[in-house]
Amino acid sequence: MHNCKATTDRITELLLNRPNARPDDLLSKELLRCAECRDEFDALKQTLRITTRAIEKSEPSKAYWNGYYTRLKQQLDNATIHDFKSRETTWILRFFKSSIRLPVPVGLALLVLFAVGIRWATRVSQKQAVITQTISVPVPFEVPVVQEKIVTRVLYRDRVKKRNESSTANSVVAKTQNEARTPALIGFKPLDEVKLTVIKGGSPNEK
Amino acid sequence: MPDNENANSETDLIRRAQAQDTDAFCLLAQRYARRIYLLAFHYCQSAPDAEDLSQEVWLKAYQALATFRSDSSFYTWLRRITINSFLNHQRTNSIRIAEPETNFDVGCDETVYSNALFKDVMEALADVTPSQRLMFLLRHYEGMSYEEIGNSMGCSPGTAKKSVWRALGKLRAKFEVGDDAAKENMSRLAAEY
Repeated sequence: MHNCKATTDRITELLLNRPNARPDDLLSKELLRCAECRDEFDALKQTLRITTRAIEKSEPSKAYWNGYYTRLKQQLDNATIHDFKSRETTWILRFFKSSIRLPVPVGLALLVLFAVGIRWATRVSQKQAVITQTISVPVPFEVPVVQEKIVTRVLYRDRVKKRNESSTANSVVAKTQNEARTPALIGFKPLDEVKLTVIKGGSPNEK
Repeated sequence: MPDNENANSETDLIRRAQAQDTDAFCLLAQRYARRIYLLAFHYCQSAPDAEDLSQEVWLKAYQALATFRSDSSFYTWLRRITINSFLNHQRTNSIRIAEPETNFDVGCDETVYSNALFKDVMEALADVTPSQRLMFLLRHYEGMSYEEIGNSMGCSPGTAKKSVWRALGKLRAKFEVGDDAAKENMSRLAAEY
């Protein structure tokens, strides 16, 4: 069954490809059957042929093309020189401006790694700071502690001798005792505080 | 001269141009410069802008030639650069687009009537958006499929087809003639072309 819309569609695509195209047998039968489609075919064919011709007609003359290629060559040479100079001078800039294409998962993984690395580096630096602080603390020096020293000295006195000498004056005895006591303490120097206890007693053979 | 042919083969010219040989690149450009220029001219509808735009395409192609890997043909790769350049200009509005020149000096000796028809074509193409115009040119002049156009322009094949048909509708409306004499004249011109 004839379908004008489908036929027009086929006509249009055929003529868009080639404005001078001839319809195939099937399309020819359709065009013979329908006058409206035939008119459409003729009108479209004329339109596209004129359009094609108009496009081709707008091409400039040969003289224009000679100048066109000269200008193109000049631009290419300029571009080459500029490119060479820019390569020499701005390679650092181009390095910093350069970019690479990465899949999103890889990019995310790199970001996570970067974040973890930053965190780890921060922790390490904090630990080092603590260690440095510990080292900077002054070494505690020994403070002399006050010690109490008790020196006990036992002095023995011969009682027989004491009786014999009892006749002498008590003051002489006392003096003798003091003399005997005094040399024993010569050279003794207490550190800070010394408690000296003198225990008086008799001879060990005394009964 | 097989050696000469080999020396001037496209692959050899590309290889030489990749080694910064500007002469080889110019020889390469001469093969496709007309197509690129005409595409640019009908896209931006101005001869000076078309030259600027097409020269920019060649400069970009020269700078990016090291990335050409022969996966596709050189012209396909070049056309991709061309479309991207056009779209960039469209975004930045650096090229005056959709303002057709009133005086098209194409430097040919055709009749006044055919010049008027040419002007009609330009005006009809100026009535659609730059994207629609580019899609029409890619489909009709470059012979690209709707899938290829959609991929290049970042739209669906359906959108590309709709744009092409819209531009075609404008052209049809422009050449819709009322009286039989004019219709006959137009038919004659179309037959001549």
